[in-house]
Amino acid sequence: MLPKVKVFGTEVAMYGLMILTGLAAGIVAAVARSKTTGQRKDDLIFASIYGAMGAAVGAKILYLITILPEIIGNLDYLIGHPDEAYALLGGGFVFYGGLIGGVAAIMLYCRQYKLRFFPLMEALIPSVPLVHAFGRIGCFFAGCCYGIVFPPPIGLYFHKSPVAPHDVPLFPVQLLEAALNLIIFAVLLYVAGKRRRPGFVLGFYLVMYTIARFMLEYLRYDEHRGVYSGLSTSQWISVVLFAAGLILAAFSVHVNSENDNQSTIRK
Amino acid sequence: MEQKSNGKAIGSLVLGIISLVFIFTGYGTLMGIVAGVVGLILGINARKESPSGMATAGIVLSIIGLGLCVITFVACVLCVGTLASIGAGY
Repeated sequence: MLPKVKVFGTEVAMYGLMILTGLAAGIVAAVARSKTTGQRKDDLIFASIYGAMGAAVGAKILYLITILPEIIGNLDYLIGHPDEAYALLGGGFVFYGGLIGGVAAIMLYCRQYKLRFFPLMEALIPSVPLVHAFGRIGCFFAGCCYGIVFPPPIGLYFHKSPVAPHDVPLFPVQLLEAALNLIIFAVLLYVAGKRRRPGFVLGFYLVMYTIARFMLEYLRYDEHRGVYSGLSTSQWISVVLFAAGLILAAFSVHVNSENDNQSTIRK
Repeated sequence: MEQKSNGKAIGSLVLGIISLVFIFTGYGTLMGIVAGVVGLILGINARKESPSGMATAGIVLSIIGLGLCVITFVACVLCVGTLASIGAGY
């Protein structure tokens, strides 16, 4: 679609621009809810920055793991062509790696400044699908993470994309995922707006997103998805994170109802 | 403690400026990202220990430098598929 734009004579990747816009929107959304969540504004901003840095590292590491066989197989080529090795660092990130890296970085921030993890994490969680939605719109502009071959007018041609095939109409799965992320964002705002037990919002987000992502993977057509036993890497991670989210959400509800029972008995 | 924080704030400010310098240097943006990340961590640390204008300035400059370096460096974040195009060159 539009992989790069010229800003003051310099070519800028639309994806980078969209992800930073999304990050700014996510921080604004988290800070705007600071009264509801009871978190300090500076902690929300700094933890978001830590989370973003952790997300970038995690997303890159998981991507490199996904393509490790190709890297090892073409090691001589990459050593002889530093430009290509550099491109490997600049492009190609996996969202789930980013999610895990981001959570780990926020954990690190809480540990460093002696803050409680779950309240801060859950104040930030609704911003994750918002940032992700912007990221997917960036993917649409770049033409990466493209969908299956699909007839027009829904199927679109990505003539300018350096990654997507040019001669076939492709399903704009990036926009569908962006729309789903915005719906998840709206649902999370509602869910997080009420008093919940620690872990519930994070678990709820994991359950919702992993279901969406598992389905969307069937509409993806891009290569190097690392298919194992009929499922892609992201689908396997979806299964694991779905279970983790379900346990987290169910456990927090269980604890909640137990506490409610105890308070009823005390009365 | 305050002197230590002041050192971190100065470090953050200097690294923030360095990351801004690296924005339009092609491959140098990677150095800008590293400088921005370290500057940001130092600035946050300094501001947490004892809030000062210099620490805030360091944080702001590091954020701007890091953001602009990332924009020029990152081709397509969160996507799997870059190696597909690189693979065509193998």
